Amino acid sequence: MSREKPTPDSEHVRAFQEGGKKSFDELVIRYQDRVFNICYRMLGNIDDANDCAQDTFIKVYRSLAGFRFRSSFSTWLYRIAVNTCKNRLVSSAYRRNRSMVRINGSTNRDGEERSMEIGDCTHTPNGTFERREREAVIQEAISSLPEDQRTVVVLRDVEGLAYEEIAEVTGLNLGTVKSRIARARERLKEKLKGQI
Amino acid sequence: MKHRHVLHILNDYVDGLLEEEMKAAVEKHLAACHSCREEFEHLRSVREKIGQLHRVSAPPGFLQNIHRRLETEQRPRFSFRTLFTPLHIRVPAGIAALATAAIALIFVLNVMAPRMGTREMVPKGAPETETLVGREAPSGESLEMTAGAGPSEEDEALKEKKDRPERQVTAGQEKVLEEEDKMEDLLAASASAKRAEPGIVREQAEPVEISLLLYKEKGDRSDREVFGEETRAGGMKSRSAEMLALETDAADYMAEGPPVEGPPAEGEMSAAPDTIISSIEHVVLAAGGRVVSLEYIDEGEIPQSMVVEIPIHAVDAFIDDLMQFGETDLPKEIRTGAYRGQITDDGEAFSIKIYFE
Repeated sequence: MSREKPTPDSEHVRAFQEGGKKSFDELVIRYQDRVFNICYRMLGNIDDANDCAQDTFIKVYRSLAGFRFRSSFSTWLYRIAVNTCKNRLVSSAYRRNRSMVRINGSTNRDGEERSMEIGDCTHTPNGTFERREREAVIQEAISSLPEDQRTVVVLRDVEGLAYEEIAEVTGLNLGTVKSRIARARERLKEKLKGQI
Repeated sequence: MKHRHVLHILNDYVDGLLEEEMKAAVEKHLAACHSCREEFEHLRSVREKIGQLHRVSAPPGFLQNIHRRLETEQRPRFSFRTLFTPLHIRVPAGIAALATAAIALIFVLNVMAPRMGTREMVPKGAPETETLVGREAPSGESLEMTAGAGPSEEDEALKEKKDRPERQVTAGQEKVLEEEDKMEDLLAASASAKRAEPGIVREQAEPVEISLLLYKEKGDRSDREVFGEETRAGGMKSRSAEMLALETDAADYMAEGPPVEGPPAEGEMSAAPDTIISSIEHVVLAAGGRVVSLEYIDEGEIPQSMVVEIPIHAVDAFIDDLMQFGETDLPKEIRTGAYRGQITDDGEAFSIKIYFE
């Protein structure tokens, strides 16, 4: 029994551009976890990741009518996600929140009570305490990277994007991507030495 | 293979990017060099650990939350405005009233006045009409005077006037028409001068669509966010990486000086732009905004598409500057100033078409 081939992104985009708003939902469902994961690894916080991932798709919704297929939809989407996260990283609200110690649960944009922080495995019930600790250390190390290095290392080592695709998402030269990844790994290596 | 060289390409080796021959050489070195092998093990370990991080999924109701936000942000504020929003364009009542008055005035001046003039204001016995060509002919200049030298710009302008349908004027309107003609001559001369400018390709069949992202400036400029942007296509170069505006903006630039990567030195910034692309960057930065993305095939040519981000207070100045590049097709909200009432905290996107000359 053969599995049905998934509809290409481009068809969903075209359908949206012709007025089929449901196609947007299909794209969200297809990419929401990947975008959420990128945002989470970039920001290190579930609430911020949730806001940024939502912002990303809202920007996509607004801009999709003008999408000209000069790149793949996923590349375009990742680029919006990365830029949204970059903006969040430099925003005063983000910096303020980062400097505060959270004792009580926070409330996100949707009004939902949350108390999740770095390394929280709420969405991965199988996460053991040890694993959570280890992941928290790794995430903390990723979060300590400069934003330019963090972006490339998340896209490469977390999301598994090819160097060429990272170059397209970030708009950097291939050589710059390589050197940034090398520098990021070098830093991570130093930070994680003896910790995990 | 030398020790230093191996360290240099160790990341490529870890990522499996080396060709067979090079890979074999690295492996041979690693087998013999303890420190390189240790370095390699560390790198591989870091890469694996990051790769093994659990994947965080979007929370339940993620799509519904997006729908909720879209619905909230698209809801019109006053029902009265829906009268003016067939295309989801919100227009403040005051501006709508002004626009209506302006349209009525234009109608009266352009449609009613000429008819009234030709029918009632010309005295009996006098020539009923006077044509623009007829008025200019007695000036002493004729087409034959410059015919031998080939068609000059002035000739073309005269020819244009000759080809223009004759307009009926009255003595009262003559001065106004003269002023109009002078303005047209000036514009034609300016366009010719631009066409003659060397080094810039000015042929553009299709307009360039600029996505203009407007945002309110809060206390902290960094609160603003980028909307969607186009990325380069396969085979196209993208200057996004090197672009001075992508990872910084005018405020950063002015306050902190040039960063290590990206923006040019301040001297370069103030230097006269030598290409259309650098001219656009110049205009965007001058407005305190930034170019989010820009696509082009050749640096000397007109860009394929662009997304720019401009603070709301600088929109008018930016539009003025932009118009120097050619004819612009502005959305109604920008033309009327109605955009000011539309910008939410998340900003708003508008589309501008510009026909580069």
